[in-house]
Amino acid sequence: MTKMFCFCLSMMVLQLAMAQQQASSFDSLVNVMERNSSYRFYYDKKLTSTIELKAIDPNADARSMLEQILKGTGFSFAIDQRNRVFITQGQPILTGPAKGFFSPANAAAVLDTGYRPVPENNSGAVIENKVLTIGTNSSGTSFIVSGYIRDTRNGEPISAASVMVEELRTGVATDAFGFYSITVPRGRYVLKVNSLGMKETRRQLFVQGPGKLDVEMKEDVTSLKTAVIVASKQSSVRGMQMGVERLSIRTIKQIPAIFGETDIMRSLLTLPGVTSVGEGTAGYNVRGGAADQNLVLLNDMTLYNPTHLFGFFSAVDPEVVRGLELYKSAIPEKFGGRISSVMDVSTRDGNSKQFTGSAGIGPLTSKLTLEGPISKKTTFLFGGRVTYSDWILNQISDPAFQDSKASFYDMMLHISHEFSEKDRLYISAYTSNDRFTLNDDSTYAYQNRNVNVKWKHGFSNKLSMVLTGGLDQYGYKVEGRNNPIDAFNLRFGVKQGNIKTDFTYNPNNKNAIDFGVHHIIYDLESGDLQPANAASLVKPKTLEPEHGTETALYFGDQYKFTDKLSVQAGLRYSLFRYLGPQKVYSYLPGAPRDETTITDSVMYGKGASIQNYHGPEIRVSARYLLNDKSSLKFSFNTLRQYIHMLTNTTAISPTDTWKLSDTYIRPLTGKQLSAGFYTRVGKKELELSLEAYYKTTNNYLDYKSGAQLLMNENIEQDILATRGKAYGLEMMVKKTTGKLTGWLSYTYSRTFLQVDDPVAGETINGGDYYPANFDKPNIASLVANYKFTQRFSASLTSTYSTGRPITLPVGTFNMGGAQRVLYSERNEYRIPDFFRTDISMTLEGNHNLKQKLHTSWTLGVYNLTGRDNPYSVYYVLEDGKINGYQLSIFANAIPFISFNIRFQ
Amino acid sequence: MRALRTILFLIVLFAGCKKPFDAPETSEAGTVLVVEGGIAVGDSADNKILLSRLKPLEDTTLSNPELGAIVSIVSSTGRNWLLREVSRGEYSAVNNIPFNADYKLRVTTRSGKRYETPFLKPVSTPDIDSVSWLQPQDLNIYVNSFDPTNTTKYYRWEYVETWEYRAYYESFLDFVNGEIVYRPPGDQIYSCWRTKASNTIILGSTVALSEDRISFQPLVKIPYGDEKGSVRYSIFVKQYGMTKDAFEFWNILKKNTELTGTLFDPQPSQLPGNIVCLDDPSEKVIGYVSAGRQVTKRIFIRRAELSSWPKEDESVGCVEKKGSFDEMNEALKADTTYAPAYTITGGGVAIAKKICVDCRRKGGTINKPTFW
Repeated sequence: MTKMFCFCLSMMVLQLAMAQQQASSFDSLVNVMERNSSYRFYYDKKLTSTIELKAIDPNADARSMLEQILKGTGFSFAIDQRNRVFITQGQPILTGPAKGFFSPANAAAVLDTGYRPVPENNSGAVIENKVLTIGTNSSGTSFIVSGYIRDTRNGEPISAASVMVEELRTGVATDAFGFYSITVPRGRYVLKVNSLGMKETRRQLFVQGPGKLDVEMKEDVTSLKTAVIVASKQSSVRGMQMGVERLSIRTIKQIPAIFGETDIMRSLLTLPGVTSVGEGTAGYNVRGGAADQNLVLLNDMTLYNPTHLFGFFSAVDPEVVRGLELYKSAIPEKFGGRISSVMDVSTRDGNSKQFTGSAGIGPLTSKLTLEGPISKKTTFLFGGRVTYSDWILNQISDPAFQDSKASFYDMMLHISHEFSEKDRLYISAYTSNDRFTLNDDSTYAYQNRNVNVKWKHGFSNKLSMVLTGGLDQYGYKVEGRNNPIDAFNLRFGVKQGNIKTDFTYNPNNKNAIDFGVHHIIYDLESGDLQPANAASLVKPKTLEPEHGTETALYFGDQYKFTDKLSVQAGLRYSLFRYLGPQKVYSYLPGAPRDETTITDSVMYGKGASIQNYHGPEIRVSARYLLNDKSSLKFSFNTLRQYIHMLTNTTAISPTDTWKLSDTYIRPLTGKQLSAGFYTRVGKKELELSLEAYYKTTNNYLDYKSGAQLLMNENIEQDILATRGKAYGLEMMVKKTTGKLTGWLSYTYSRTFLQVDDPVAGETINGGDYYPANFDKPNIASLVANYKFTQRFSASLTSTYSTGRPITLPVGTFNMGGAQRVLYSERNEYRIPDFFRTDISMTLEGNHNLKQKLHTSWTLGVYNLTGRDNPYSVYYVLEDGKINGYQLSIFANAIPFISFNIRFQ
Repeated sequence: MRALRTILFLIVLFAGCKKPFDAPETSEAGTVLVVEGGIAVGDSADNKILLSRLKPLEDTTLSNPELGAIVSIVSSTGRNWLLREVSRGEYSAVNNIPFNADYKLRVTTRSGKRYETPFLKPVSTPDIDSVSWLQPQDLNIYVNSFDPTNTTKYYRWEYVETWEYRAYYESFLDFVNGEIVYRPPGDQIYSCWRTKASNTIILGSTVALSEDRISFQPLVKIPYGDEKGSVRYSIFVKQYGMTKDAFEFWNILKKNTELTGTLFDPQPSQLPGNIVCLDDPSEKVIGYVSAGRQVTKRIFIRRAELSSWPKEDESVGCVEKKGSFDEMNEALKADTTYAPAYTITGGGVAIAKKICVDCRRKGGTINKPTFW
């Protein structure tokens, strides 16, 4: 009988539920009110469906409207300070804390008030209302509370989350492992935790002694709302750092990408201060720095060429990435080795709660991601991508591509293991491979291989250490099979071993100290040319390998003088040693170096110190809060770089090599001074930022006319040292809330170089400053995403920039018995301006958390206007006539579609 | 599937699109004066200056000479030598120009614009010690020089090659008015001489050496079996001592010649110069004029001196047609690419392709040079 009754009841519930599929009249009223006002309603749909609408005065305010409607229905309403409307049956809820709520003396009383939260079926909400006692009754007045902030869904640590104690107006940010440590005096507090894309969460603490508190956060699926504003508030206005760009993987995925391949590096190009010389090029330029001046780190592994197909795509699978940070100025002292920027890409740790995976099919690649717990304390994350572009190339009837082949893949494996609360181990391994055969004669292949192991140890709540050991490798091979008699194999490789120890010490809330030692061992296979077969007449030639070490010590402290003024001061001291075995030529002092000015040669033995360079690197920045909504920031940085890319092409080419600083090639040094103003304006909380910078560089390499860079054992004869100056103004307006999100940025920047080499022998532009290859004065970009519904969103990006400068032949003349070409001043002309618009839309399946399979479609158009943006201009001699051509890479609108599936 | 194909087709368009570049107006062609040559100092020094204008890229003519200019060499002591326009854009004179003064070149164009170099101190180019050669297979020719004063240090060379070569058949016959006839004595088309000036920039420097000695500086390499070595070869070498700046000018010019070509294009450098427009100092002028002693040397190399220099095998391309005089007259009328080659002992005549009979067909002249 009881069983029968239950059955009937559930049937009724089911019918009721079905009836509610159609919006009730109260529902539609709420919709109208939400649209026309800033009120947000919280109510039980099931219960309120019984409310019948009556004729109401349309000119009345919300409060009286609601009074009219709810009169006699048994429902009550309450409106809080944030214009949230709570509809309840019976008693209205209390929207504010009861009197004395924050007073620890009355703590018990507070909990007994009639305050009842909106029922929400999750532990997060319940725990927010619990008073958590931290520590046992210890002596002392101030205590350290520390712990990890994690994602409740998969247990991933959340880095750069802000942990604030509102009452004390103090806050800290979590480190790369999601760890935080904050000092608070004894007492009752509300701890507020915010992170980009996560729902804000709070914990009520009763601090009696030092203790641990781990906090789990939920993803904010209800579009980018409040939590995001707060997190961004932290980073742009309140945050210490300036010139740092943070992109979450979610933002990156919203940016339309060529062929729908989400591209973590391309997404950077939408940010102010970041440019590239053209579409489909491997490098990017940050604030007038050359492409080789950017450090690219993937979980602290150095990637020398993180691109596929010579730069069309970045070689890091976005599915494994948590987010990336790009430091354009105020580079923290823990980073070194490159003078322009640091791109720090971090992967997720892998789901610690359950085994999940995802797969994606796009026109160019397929990808697979798997993650999950291996044991209670160990999680793994694997991501791999492979292309089938061979198949695409075979579909082309153009005979030029008939025998072309292109293939690439990349893989990432990350394992994290927790030995104890204090010791954690992380292992990362990465590889990417590219192989491209053009017309069956030449094959270009290159690969990255990286591995590192990190051990994090917490000595105490105040002091922790990360010990990292790793190996990074990059190499390429060119197989020339144009002609059997000159068939060759050419190889180049760079290898670096790293040992790093990084400490962080937070003695109190005023100081955040970090210090450490880094040591890098470089091994370069500078070039090896071999005949490919017995018939080949190519003379075998091997350049002497290069060796060097780079050691750096650093120390920095972020000190909070007052609530408003914080200063970060750091010093890094680096020492580079260029080591034998190596044969070094001496040249006539003061004369241009060439084969005629060689005076002597010295053979250095294995491990012999050939040349040492060392110097300090200063990293200072300061932040001053003008008020709650605005701040001023300032930074000054000096940096040193001991490895140079040899390239005399505007784009990174597949045969560019790297070279260590040596007797003649001095280390690259850079100085940057920048200042910024950050504010939030208007009701929509638009974020406005304005940054200006002035930068100088020394010893950047330019090359003499006709320099031969490949397989050149005396490269010092072909180089020119230059000094550079760059300045710019970056403006950005960002909207992070509401259905429409995105940013609009405009950058004015200039970059100039000047030959600065007493033994140059030749100068460029008569020794005056000339624009660098990547000097693009005006750049504007727009990134917009509109979320129509939870499942459907559309994005648009649009970029305009001045065309990059080029040197053009301007005429011909006869001299020395032959026709010669006269070139314009270096970079005197420009290729036509660049403009491109891309759109994409994403359609997702339902969001049911219990569902095993989630699918989504992305489709869009790259270069919507089909503008023929020239990439390069070149001249060829045809029938005694010199003809110029422009080459475009993506000259048409390119539609794309991709399908993603996520399973668990 | 069809739709997918279409999408794929669109995708592969990323492979690129090439179209003519609409170059920005450069307006420099036609306005920029190009000066080539130097001030030769010494007794009966042969001074030659070439003036032309920069040509637009699309111009395929050989040169755009500057006509009607007044060109003179001015000394720091106030003397003045005028160069006459001997052919279009070529200004020359033979003068005795003493070594103990500085000199400048002055050009006034027909439009009245004045151009000048600064006063140049003549470089005392040392004599050419020898022009030597080595022939393991290819024939390599070198220049050797020594400046005991250790002051010259920067050198540039030009050369003119002249060589004798012969036709495959030595023909005493001619084809005149439809008939095969004997050539008059002295009228030969068997031996020819060809002359070719250097078209590469040859530079050398001794700055890193303890003495100013040029030793085995390569000038030219003649491939094994080349026509140049077939009979007798001569090379006339001109040696120019230069200042460091002049050396750098030529060095850049040498390297800049290659055009930028591909996606991955190296950067060319700009050409410095030492000629200034007095009326508009910002005007661009191409050229670097040096002053110095003119030093030359000529050598001869006979085929017999070379080790087994092979002769080009022309027997296949030079198969003769034989027949009676009448038949061959008709054959020559029918095919004008043939010429009479030799008379056949016992009657008849052989004809062959003109290139096998007439050495001039290969570009030479039958006039023996005066120095031969």
